Amino acid sequence: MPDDVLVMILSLLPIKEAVATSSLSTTWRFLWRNLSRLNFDGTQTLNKTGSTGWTYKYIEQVNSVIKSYNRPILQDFRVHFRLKNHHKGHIDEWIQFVINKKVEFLELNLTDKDQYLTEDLNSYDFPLFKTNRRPLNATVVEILCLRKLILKMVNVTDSILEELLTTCPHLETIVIHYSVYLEHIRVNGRALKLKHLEIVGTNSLNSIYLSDFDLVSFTYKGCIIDLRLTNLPTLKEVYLYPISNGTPSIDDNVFDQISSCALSRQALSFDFCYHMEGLKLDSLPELPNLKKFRLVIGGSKCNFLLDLASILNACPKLETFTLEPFWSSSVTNKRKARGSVIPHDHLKLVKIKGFYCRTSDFELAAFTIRICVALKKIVIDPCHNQRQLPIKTVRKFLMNKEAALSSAKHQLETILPSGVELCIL
Amino acid sequence: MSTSSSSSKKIVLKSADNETFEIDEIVALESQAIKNMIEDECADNVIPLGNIDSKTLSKIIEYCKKHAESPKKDDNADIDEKAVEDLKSFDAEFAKVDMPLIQDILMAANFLNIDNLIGLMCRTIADRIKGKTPEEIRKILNINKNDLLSPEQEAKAREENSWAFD
Repeated sequence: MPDDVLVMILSLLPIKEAVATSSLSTTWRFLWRNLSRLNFDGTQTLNKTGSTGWTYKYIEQVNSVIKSYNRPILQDFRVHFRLKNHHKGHIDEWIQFVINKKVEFLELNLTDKDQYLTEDLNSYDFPLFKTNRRPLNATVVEILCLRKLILKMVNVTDSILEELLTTCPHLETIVIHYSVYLEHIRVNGRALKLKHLEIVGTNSLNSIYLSDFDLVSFTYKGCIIDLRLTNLPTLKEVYLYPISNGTPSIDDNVFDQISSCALSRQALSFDFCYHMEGLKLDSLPELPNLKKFRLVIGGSKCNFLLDLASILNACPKLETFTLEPFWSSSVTNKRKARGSVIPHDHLKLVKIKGFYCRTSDFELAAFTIRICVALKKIVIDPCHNQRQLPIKTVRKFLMNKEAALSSAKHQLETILPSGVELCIL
Repeated sequence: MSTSSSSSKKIVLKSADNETFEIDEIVALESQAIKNMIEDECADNVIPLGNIDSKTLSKIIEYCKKHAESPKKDDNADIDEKAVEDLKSFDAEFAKVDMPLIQDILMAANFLNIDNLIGLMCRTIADRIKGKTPEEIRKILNINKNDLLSPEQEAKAREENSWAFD
């Protein structure tokens, strides 16, 4: 087989196994050094993190590969292991290495296996640029070829982010999770190539202002902050996972944030997840451009149908609606919801994920079927995301899955108008 | 969706052992190499494939037919989840063949430049050697005895990257 095909096979192996192929035969002896993607996925040994032995071993791995890697260009360089700021000497060297190799995709995922950790002052500080208030080791970082950057549990300051955006002219994707130094994110200007931005914030984050560039997708997860999206003409997808900081207050402005997205001229796809009760859904601003909406919603005191009614009223052009309900009690205010909703004449496709044949699930399905007069297809997915539910519910459902689904099919068919397709996955 | 209607244009492929296969042009276009030939108008009525035997070629055509039929991922169109699943299980079934044939398909797909199929075959091989000892891998890939490292060379290879051999 030609070498380039063999390298393709190598690139699908964990890096340790790929390097071990050097003992197979003369053909394979130095083949691994042609890998253009180095992915040091330490998740297998991550549960052993904490023991310095494993950390040392992991660092040795990366160092050893870097030492014998002699291609002039490296496409991807990915690290996934819980490393902290006292490993900074090594990580800085890795970054210098990938800069020299003109890397296009750099990922430093320094999270724990369970990623629950949200912030840690001992996280690795990203090497800094010319101006920074924290006097760190001054590696001059000019990552000219960088297109994609993922930093998790890596501390980046506002000014470092700014520098990155100005010194990496091709940067299209930025993902930053849990940087304790980020406070005010400002991204603006026509010259930017940035298309995808994902931020998982910590408590220190106060605001994100994005304006005047061709952003395509934006994801934010974290406390409710001052979020302003202005003049982003190509914005297509917005994913918001607001977490109320403690008790939700009356001023929680989740939907004000959404309304600023509504200015976008493009068809918006909107992905919204809220787990808290008490957020104001009735003050939802009109979203005339919204065509796709995925909503993860639920809780114990569930006015869900009412919320749904106000969402449908606010999104008159909605065509695809994906619902992921998780509820722990039955739905209330059914009649009020039915009374407050205007028949929806654009919605064509409704998907309900996590349909466990509970009464509430049926009520939800029946409600959407009744009010969506242009509906063409309803998709029921019973196998989605079982982790969010109490084990008892899931077990009960799985035991009688076949029977439950066939009875669900039967029940739904009786209320389904002709011409609407029912699809049970 | 394209079904083989009598009006659609046909392409004839001829294998190394002189067997001919008549297929719809749309199926042949799954191969970037054939596509280029057709676009450059240097494809005759019959395209000879002197390095692909009929067993391998018929497998490749089976793959291209299936993939040409399924709806393409359009950025606007909603991707049909069922079609994606269907294609996935087809691919999984397709790859359940012995290693020599997989290697033949991979070589041919590489020659014909069929990206998806190259990827599928590489993944299949990678999955089969994953977690195996060097000795097992040599056997699976049928590595030529003459190509083996001398004991000294092998010791050096292991020493260079000792961490990879724990």
